[in-house]
Amino acid sequence: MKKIIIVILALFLVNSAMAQGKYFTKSGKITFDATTKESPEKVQAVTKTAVAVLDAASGNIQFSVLMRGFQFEHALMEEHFHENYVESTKYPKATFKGQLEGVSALAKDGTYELPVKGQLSLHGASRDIQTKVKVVVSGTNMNATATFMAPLADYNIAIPGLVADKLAKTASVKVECLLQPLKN
Amino acid sequence: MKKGIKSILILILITVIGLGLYVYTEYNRKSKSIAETTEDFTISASDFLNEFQSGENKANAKFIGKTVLVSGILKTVEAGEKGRYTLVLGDKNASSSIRCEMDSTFLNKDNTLKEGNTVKIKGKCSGFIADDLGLGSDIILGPCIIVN
Repeated sequence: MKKIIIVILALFLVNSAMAQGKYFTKSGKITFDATTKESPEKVQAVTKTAVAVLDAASGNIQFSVLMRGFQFEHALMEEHFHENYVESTKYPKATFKGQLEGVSALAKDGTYELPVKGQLSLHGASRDIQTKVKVVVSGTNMNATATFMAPLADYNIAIPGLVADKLAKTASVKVECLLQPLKN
Repeated sequence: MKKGIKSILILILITVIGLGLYVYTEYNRKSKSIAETTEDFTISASDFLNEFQSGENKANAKFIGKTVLVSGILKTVEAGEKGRYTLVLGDKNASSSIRCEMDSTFLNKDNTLKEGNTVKIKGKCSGFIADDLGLGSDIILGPCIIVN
């Protein structure tokens, strides 16, 4: 009987230790900006429904983002974005799979800047990207922010000549996530 | 003869103004609020999840970008930044759910919503995130409102 209890306790310990290593969000904020000097107004969209998981032990980081979640202020811009540019119904999801380096530092409270490398897949194309992630660790939460540039042509997003000078050829993408420990 | 030219000019002027107005309003058109949008589908939370779980591609084509009126049991109320809320619908013990990002008109001032309540929510479907990250699977609805 004692043995069984010990085994069960040990299993619990192992399980909780593993769970401690993972952090997640289901409400990550991603801002897409393709504004140029020639743009008559901001070409900007925001989604707050990005899903992300970070394994703080291995540094594995994954994102899953629904393209339709991107909302513009202007209805026409939003329609063109979803219907003509990223084709949100045909390619509903963008994903990122990568590796955050130096994650062992995240065990202590503080602000860190860590390099991240990985592959971004969207609109049927996959490209390697790398950038730096700023991580603020406080208690059990991690606030992660990163910015990177995405050339639209890399993802087979064609810009018609008529609006070519009003849209940036390379969009800036800002990611902001408040990651919480994953309990299971 | 002069009269003819005059009426043609007036006609052109009206056409140009009309076209200009159309371009102007279309260009400045804001996204329609969800309250003004009529639902394309009315469905229960469990049927909605079943549609995505049994055939994601088919369900993507059917629901993405469409307005859906879904009724189900409120699993959790999550408070986000700037007083925005996410209401999560689904079975308490299941890992799959429907996450409804509420629009700015939803304030939950008096905290009248309780977990376990049955609610009707109208929103635009963004799609489905399958359980490949170990977080359970979710249908995501864009800006949503509660329908009484």
